[in-house]
Amino acid sequence: MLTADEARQLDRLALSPSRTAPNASATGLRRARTRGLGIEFQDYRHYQPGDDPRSIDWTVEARLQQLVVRVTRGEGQLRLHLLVDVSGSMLLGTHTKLHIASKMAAAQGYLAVEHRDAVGLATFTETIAAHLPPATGRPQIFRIFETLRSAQASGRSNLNRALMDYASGTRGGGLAVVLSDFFQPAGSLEGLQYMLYRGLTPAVVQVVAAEEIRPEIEEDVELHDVEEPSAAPVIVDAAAVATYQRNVEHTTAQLGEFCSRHGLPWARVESSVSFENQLDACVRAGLIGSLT
Amino acid sequence: MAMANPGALWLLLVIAAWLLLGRNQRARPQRPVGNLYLWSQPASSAPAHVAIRRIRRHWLILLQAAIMAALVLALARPTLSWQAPRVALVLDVSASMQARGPDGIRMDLAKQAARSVVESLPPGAQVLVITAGPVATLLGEYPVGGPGLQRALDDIVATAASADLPRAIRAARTAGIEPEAVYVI
Repeated sequence: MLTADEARQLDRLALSPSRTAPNASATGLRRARTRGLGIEFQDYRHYQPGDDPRSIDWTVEARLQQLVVRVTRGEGQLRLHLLVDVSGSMLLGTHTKLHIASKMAAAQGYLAVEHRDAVGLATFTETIAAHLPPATGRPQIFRIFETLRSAQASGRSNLNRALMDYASGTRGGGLAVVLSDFFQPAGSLEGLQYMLYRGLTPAVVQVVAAEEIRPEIEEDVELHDVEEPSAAPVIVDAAAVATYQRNVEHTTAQLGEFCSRHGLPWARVESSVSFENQLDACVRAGLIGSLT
Repeated sequence: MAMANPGALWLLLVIAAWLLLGRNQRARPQRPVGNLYLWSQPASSAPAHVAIRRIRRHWLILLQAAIMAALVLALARPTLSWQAPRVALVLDVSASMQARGPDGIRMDLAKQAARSVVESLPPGAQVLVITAGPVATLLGEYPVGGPGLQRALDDIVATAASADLPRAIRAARTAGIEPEAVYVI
């Protein structure tokens, strides 16, 4: 899924800590927002019954005659959930949208594993198609690669239902990166809202094909829905492109507005861009940060 | 309408083949898209609108087909057969027709009425002239506007006998093709 060169590019990056809510009860390299059993000093506070006696700072007690405990910053682990749309529409694009979404999911999974975070993967159409629960360790990244490699784009998508199904079957929080084109008549906001309700932090990565954003139509063209072959085709001409682009922008704006309102990472990536540009889009969205 | 060379109409099959080939060559391009709801265009997808678009798209092929169809029709040599109207004039030539009335001699008035009828007929119409005397006499069948009809009407004279009008009318109806109308004067 990732070439050696791409892996080298990823070695300079990490999942953005500002977007993560690590689980302080597990051990990882990530700094937790909660206090915990780490070694980095954070603060002092008065001793309370139940505190570990080993945390009492005896030098302070000797000076001030008060029991004071050292509070350290916990070191936690992120739970990263990767959700990849594998519906029929993901086959569009010179480089298919599924290929790019898989690549980006693989990159983020790789980053998570490299930083000892737990990462899981789900592919979905109308509901969850394949599911790897979050786990740590290098074997997990190979399982993720294999699942992504074997994913076949087909069928209809139903983002709301798929996201709700996933969120309802997931315990604990974490960052849920949803990679899809997000072009749904019913939208996807209900599903994203439900993820928030269930304690997940959804991150939206909209993967679009260049011909979807800038369709080149000069004469009458018969459009067929790849997800619904039985649907009646729509005949359009060049005059329809402007209306279509307005609809696309409106849909995208709704998604962006939802994300900014909830402080969620949101990136739009064209399937024709290079791997480096894909990473740049994730960095700009705050999904990935540089180590330096 | 009849065709002098109906065998040429088989060439219309060539036009049909031409249209099919042209349609396939100029088939509207199809494109898969991820969704149709963003493209919704109810007005342009209406059947009438689609038909207009189809004609506009194939106008060159349709023009060529129309030209070929006209050539084929010309080769088939269509002919129009037109049957001229046929009427019968039955003129009473009994002795009473010699009488003079306030407007003149009845025979002259009858001829004048006959000419009025002839003038109202379309050009090319055939007029059967029958005199009703003691016997019905068929003077002949003349085209409207021809000199024969005028001469035949001029030559009619009243007899000194009675007229058998029913027989004359029957004779008018049974003389050749039945006339569209029988004028009894």
